[in-house]
Amino acid sequence: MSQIAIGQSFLMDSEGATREAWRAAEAGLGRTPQAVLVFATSGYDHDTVARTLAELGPSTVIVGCSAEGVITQGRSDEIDHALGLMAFASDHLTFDGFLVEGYGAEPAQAGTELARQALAVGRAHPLALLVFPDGLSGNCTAFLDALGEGLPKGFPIVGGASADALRMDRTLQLCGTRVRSNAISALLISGPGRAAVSVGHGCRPIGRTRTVTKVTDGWVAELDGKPAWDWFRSYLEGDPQDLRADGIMHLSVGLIEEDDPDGSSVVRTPLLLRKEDGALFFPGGGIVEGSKIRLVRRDPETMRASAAHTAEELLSQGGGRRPELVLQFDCSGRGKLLFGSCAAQEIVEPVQKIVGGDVPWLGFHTYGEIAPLRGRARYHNYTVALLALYPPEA
Amino acid sequence: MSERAPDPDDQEIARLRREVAELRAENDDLDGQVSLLVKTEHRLTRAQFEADRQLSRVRALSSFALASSGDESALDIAGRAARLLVEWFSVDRVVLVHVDEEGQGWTSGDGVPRARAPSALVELCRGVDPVVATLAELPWAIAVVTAEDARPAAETAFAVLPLGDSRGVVGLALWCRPNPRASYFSEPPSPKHLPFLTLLGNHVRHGLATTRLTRELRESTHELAQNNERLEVSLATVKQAHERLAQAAKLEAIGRLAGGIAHDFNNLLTVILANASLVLEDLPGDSSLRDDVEPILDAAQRARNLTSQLLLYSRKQESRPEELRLDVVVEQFSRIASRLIGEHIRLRISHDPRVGTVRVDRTQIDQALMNLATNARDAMPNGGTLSVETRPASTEELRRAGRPSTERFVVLSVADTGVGIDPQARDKIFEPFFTTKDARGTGLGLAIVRTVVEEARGHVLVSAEPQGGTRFSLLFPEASQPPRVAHTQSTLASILVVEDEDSIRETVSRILGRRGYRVVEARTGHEALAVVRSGFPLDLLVTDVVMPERTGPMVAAELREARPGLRVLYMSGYTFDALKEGELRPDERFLRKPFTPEQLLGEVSAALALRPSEQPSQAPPSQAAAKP
Repeated sequence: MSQIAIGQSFLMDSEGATREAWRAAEAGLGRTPQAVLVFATSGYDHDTVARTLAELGPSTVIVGCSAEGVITQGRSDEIDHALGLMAFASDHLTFDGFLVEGYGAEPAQAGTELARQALAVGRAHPLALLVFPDGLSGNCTAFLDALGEGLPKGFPIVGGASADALRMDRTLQLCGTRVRSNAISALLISGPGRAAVSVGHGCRPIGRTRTVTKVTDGWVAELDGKPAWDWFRSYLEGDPQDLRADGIMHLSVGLIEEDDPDGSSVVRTPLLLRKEDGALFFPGGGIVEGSKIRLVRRDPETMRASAAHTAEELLSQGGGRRPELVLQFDCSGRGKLLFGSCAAQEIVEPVQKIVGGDVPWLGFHTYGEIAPLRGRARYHNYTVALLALYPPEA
Repeated sequence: MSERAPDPDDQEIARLRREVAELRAENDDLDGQVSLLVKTEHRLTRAQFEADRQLSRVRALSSFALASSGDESALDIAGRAARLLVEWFSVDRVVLVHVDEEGQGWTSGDGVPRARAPSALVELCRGVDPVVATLAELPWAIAVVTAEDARPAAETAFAVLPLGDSRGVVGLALWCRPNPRASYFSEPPSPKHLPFLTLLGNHVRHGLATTRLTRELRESTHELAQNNERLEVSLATVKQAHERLAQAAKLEAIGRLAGGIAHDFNNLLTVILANASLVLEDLPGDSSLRDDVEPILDAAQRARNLTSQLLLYSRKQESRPEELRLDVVVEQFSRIASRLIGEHIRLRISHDPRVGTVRVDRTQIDQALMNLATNARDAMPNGGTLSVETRPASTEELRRAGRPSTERFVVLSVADTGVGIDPQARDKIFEPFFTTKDARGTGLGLAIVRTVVEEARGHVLVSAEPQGGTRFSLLFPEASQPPRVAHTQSTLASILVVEDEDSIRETVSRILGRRGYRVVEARTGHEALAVVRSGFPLDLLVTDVVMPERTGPMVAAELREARPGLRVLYMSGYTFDALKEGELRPDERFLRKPFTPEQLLGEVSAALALRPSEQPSQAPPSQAAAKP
């Protein structure tokens, strides 16, 4: 039997908030957590958060990352000070935490290393690997491809790219008392049971197909032989000189692939602008010279319908049973940026109503969602990725 | 010139070129439409951001106002405002400038109270309107913040919300510098935020006012409650005073009544007692008339007691304290106690040899002892034990009496094993005329006990439980000197008896004559002087105090002119102004009416034993006391 409890806090003091959330979770469990998954927004000092958690649970496995906002039952808190944690205590599940550095420079190598470490712990029944890469560096596609190659085919890899407060400055990954940037934190959950994963999109392609004509180190410099920023900027109001969150959310592109000719499934969003040459950085990766892309437009109606379908899909994978927990990784562009102060009502509550309003639920607003698509783990933008754990069938 | 037919290829080329141009135009148009659409959405997004920010702030302000309650302290309210400002603007520091009567203080952005407030900031907060500027625009304010630990850069946004009035918090100040960790949704304070800052300032000000009013209301309520309490105490005091006044009036009435009849009554009783005694003395031991005379004596004795008690309680009977050994008093009481308490009650007497003397009126202490013994007897109708003891007061008894433990008190304890005292009756037992004995009791017994003890500056302690017996402990201050030992004097002296009441004078003369004294009578002071001038060898003057022409002391003074060193025994049945406690000369004594022959003879003997004084005779003020 597994016990899962949620703790959260909005205190401004990093240690105080951590202790408050821990106390709530520990009270829910009735004992010291075996493992803790923690997401905290950028107002906190994450070193203090990690150190405090380690003090509170010296033998507890601690994994987490910085977040743009924290999602819990009925809430979506995209504010400077929101901290949520999911605490685990189980007699049949085991938890292993990992932190792989060097992701920004060598993402594929980081994927290979994470796979090696995950296999090295030798769990007989791995259920799912939760990964939280830096959201502002690296190449997540290269990382996931390498990770997938190192793990059994079809093994569930789910997670979200760490985020900050839409300042695009720095994201943090934590494991134990280690807090890093340009890294990957990960949690391997093992034991009997079933992991169900579902991902839902919400964009529609619009306009003509463009060809990427120049890419260096993940930075897209030219489209159709012209500076990339000139093309993207032409879609923004007021001739902006910088790339800001309100502009980013309108500049996503869909990758046209053989099995996705209209480019609606794999969406990439530029998060950084290099003003010197007008190149844009897509941390999701997967865009190379010759890639065909189309601008995509956020569609709230599609998003709502897709989210509901995602929740139903999650339930059907569990045979209609109540999951032990749900983790939600939702794009930062789908929360307050799209729905303002109604984000919780628009994107969180409808899904929770379908899956269960009393299921332990934690998530965060990411800079990229990670979930399987057509058989392999993929990086996404403007999606919701859900992971549900179901207990073993009697 | 001949015209050449159009080349079909050229025509096709031209058509294709037109189509390409049209397609390009369509594509350009499509691009333009897409761009227009996305730009419009971008504009809408920005507008939505701003609307959402405004809505969030309005909601936050509303929540802030709704959360205000009078239970918060000024610091709590300012702390909430500080946290709100931090969330809105992601500011580095929020300063609460607090200059109320509790002193100064400030709170940082995380709401943790700190000490000290820069005085220059206080001055800034005394402005009327909120201020939003950069520190560069407020150069003198830089001096303010340099006093703080974290000095912001000059370009730091700086806002001040004056909140206070003359009595309370002056204001909130906040400043902000670029914060890479701040949320994209927050923004530094700027003049466009003045409406919100003003609204927040108003909410804080109202919150502070509510807190102050609530505090004042509580204080007023508390004060009112205290006043009510004091009023109730005052009312109770007034009520008690009324009761005491009524009691005093009652006592005064009793006193007047008692005093009015006491003199005549006592004179009558003196005659009855003396003559009945003489008759009884003359009767042979086996005379049947004794059965007729003894009830007369008994009735007269009881009448004398009643008169005495009335006079004692109404304080119309003058107290004559003397130094006594209580063990002697108790021993003498024990000789007559068996007749009082009956054979079914065992009397147990004990004395502690450490006790000293006390200063108390002998008659009164006898009376008190009698009253307590009578009550004890009535409380033990089926028999029991009456314990009377004398001992030094214990520390606990001194504590109960409210006396320092260093003081020395002698205890006369009277305890019975009777029915005890009902708790409801316990508070009333010392009230005059309160009795549990129905018609049998006068209700004066314990009231007199308390009067006697208080007269001697002592205390009465009661320990009683229903069916558990009762103990009265009479505490008397221990006197410093041992009592004088009385001694008898030989008889056959010459005595002048001055008394205007013939029956008393004759009775007194008869008693003294029978004992062998040489007695001469006089009805007035004038007659007495005549006796002295006649050369009568006078050893003792026995005189009434209150007489029509001259008072006893006046007669004594006049006689002493002729017979210096004349010893005097005054007789009186009433309080009189002519002779007060302490005014008796060393060669004078006093006998209270009514008296028995034994008492008269004892006092005469004691007076004759006095050493004649060499004190010159002083004529008392002329006083013609009317015979009551």
